[in-house]
Amino acid sequence: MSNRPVELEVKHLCKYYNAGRKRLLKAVDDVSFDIYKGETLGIVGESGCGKTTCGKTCIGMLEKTGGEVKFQGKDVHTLSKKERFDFSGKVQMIFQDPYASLDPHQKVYDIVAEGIRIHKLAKDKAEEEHMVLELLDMVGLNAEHAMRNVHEFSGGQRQRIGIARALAVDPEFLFCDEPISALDVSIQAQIINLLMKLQKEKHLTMLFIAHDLSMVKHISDRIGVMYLGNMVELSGSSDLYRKPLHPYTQALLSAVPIADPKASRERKKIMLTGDVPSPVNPPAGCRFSGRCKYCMSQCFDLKPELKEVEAGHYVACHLYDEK
Amino acid sequence: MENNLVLNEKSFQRMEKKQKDLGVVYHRSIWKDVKKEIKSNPMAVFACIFLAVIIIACLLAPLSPYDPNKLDIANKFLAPSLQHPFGTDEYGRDYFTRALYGGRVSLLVGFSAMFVTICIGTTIGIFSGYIGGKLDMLLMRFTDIFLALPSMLLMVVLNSFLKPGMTTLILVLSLFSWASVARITRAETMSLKERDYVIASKNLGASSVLIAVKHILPNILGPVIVAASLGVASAILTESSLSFLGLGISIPHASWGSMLQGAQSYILDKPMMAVYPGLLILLTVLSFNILGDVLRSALEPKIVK
Amino acid sequence: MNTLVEIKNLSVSYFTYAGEVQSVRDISFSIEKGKTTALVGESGCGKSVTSKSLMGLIEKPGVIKEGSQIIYNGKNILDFNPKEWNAFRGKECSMIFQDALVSLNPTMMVGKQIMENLENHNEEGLSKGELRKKAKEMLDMVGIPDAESCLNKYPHELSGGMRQRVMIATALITHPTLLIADEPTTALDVTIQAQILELMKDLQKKLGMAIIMITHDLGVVADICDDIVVMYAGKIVEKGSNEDIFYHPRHPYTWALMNSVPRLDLDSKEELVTIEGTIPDMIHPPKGCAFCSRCPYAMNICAEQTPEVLDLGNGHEVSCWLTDPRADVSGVPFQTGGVDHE
Repeated sequence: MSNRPVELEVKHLCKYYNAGRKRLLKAVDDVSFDIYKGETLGIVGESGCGKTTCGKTCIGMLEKTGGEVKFQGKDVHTLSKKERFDFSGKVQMIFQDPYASLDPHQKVYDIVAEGIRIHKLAKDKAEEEHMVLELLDMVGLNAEHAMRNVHEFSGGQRQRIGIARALAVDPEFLFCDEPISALDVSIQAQIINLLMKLQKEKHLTMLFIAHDLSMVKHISDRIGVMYLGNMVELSGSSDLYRKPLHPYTQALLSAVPIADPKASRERKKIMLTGDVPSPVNPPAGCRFSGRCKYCMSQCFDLKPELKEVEAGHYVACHLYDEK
Repeated sequence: MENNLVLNEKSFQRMEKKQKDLGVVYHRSIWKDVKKEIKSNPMAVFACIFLAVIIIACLLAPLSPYDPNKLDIANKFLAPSLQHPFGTDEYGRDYFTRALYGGRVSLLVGFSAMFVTICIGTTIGIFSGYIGGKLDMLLMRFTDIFLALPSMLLMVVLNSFLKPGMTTLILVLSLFSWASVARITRAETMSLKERDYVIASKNLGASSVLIAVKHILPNILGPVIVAASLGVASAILTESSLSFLGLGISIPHASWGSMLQGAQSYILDKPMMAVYPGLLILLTVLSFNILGDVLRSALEPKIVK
Repeated sequence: MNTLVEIKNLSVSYFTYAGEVQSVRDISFSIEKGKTTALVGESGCGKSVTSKSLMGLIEKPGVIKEGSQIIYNGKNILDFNPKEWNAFRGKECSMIFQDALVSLNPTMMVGKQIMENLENHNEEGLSKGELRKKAKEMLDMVGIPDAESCLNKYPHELSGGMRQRVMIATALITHPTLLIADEPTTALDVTIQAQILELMKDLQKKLGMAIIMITHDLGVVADICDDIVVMYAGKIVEKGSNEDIFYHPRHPYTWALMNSVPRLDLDSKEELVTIEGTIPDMIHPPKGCAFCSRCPYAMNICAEQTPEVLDLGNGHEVSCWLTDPRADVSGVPFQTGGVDHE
């Protein structure tokens, strides 16, 4: 896997917010990972763990506080105006809320055609029309939908329009920010299938962020687990489920309810006590130290580094320190 | 359940798949919402009808057989009759015709002032809200100054310095009313620029101008229309006040305000001379205000499934 | 049978500007004492409206149609007068909601909110001190550490999980026989959700109340529910015990719902089962089976006539034409026909 070309390289990325009274909210704190070309990296974590902030900073939507993000070898935060414009043709985003992400005063056709017009991808009106209809067909809508207003569509259909809009500029990298969490169960599966199909057809690289672990596992090749602004574990998706190493990952996975009564009853759940501490004053040392049942004395003082423990399986925990 | 359906061999055959239907669809447009809101409110129906009648009547004023400014002293202070529905004034001019011509002036000033106000206010509001930062601070302090000025007083002063006339009046009126429109559009723009669809457009590489024209302007239209409707009302009112003070339209041309001023001297003998223009001002302003309210409730965001 | 509440032919409509939305259309089911019943379905299927009818919370423009009955202790609660409703609500039947921050009063201390419900149903005439003691016991029971100091806190000072616990304490302080939980864990993170579900199971064992669980998360359903009612477009398409529904679904909607969620414990990159299309317009509900337009196995009759309810025994009931012996069942991936499994 590691001999594949790296598409997005994130090194020691930090994003702090000013929380007033000279305190810092450390939304993302020293996170490093690579995304290889053509793969899907999922990031999971509970609300407030910084996964969305991390993703938005990675594609340059937010300014970083420290560290470095390189897309195809170029730092995304120091692009010139021209480079920035080219970047927008390569990196696109799918939003969480299908109701807020489409302009209510535009027709579907105009929404999808916007990227084509901005990047001047079509020679003339006829080609533009052809491209839009092709895009709509690709996401499972038809020509008849093109001239309709956005408010006539249901959540799932709107999300399809959003996907068509992102694909209009023929991007290489897609950042999906919780694209299914606002949808009904039966619609979620439609969107996931669609994204997987498109990834295969277009050889997209994807960064997929969600809190639904089972969906993330289904769509991702590798998964990163975030806790309180830190990446605590990163590994192949089935590997992660079969053998979670970090105590937080173990608890998180065991807490996901399984839609099977027998399996659900037989499973042993690891109950976490307490709540997630505030990212304004995160614990020194390991962020998970206060809730971890394997906590050792060094966990309170020394922050564990993300290390490769097994091939392709990274974890940040003192339990796996070499003796 | 009554089994009254004829079952045949086809009943249990697999259905052929039809074209996928669109699902739940409620057609909804701004125009339909406004119509519905107006219909549900009898006051609004009255306001609309009244405004339509006034506007058409003022437009058709030249059809009147009388010249609004021609003196005819012999026929002064005639009581209302079929020939002179509102009677005549102290110079024997047909009061009804004068009221219509006065309405032309009042409405023209009202609409033009509103138009200029909206143009200035919206432009400054969008600039200020979208670009933000230092420019926003600067523009907003400037706006605050205009909001804090005692506008009536300054208008009186300005009007007495400048050459009186319609254009001056319109410009002076707009100068003192764009600030509140700028405030409204700035607030709307600030909230709109954080919306996902604006961010999506930015991600696609759209320039700021394109975003402002394509995404922000159409979406702030609602509040702007409401402000415009209320703006007409207040412009008519202010114009009347200025004309009443003798600072508006110059004699012999009529406006509702200057007619009120003329009627002042005869208020005890001929009270109806003040009542006609006064009633017209009152009803027109009231109608525009009602219309503004109706538009506000029609255009405010509704949850549509 | 140990029936606590029996809902018979319940129909609820909302009269909106677009027309009459038939949210719930003639549904019947019963809730067993001390058991957990899940109402499962997509948003807009009528599950929340059903629970609101139970609490007497249907307000204009909503109307409960003639002929609807909800029998509790031999009485039809839909005939209650306001006084009887007040005695029933909060005392016999309590409700917890999705968002605790919205449903708790932000300007009232936690202790006072818990006691308020108890005071309203204070038949024994307990004193303030005794009420406070009871409130503290309840907070202990829902697993809040340092209950005494929690009584004097405001809701915003508590974390999401703690607020949910406080809301459960408020609902259960009067020891109701029925607890309605409307998506109680949807807004919570998975680790907190696991804690709350564990707590609800635990409290049910201790207090013996019946729970109606409204949710769309099948994982939660599998975890805590005994009986399941699957609703679609205002109708019950299938109901039965937890095992019946999960292992022997007989309705294509239930089957698709079960298979549209990827399983965390299984390694599969297969395409998920999807339900194409969207829910039908409830202003003009379809003439036949409501699921017809989205069902891959729909037959001509499905569009014409509503299928009758077929009792498969053991409380497992399904309403689908595929159970008819004449049906074309080729390629249907689940069991059809009229005979139930062992």
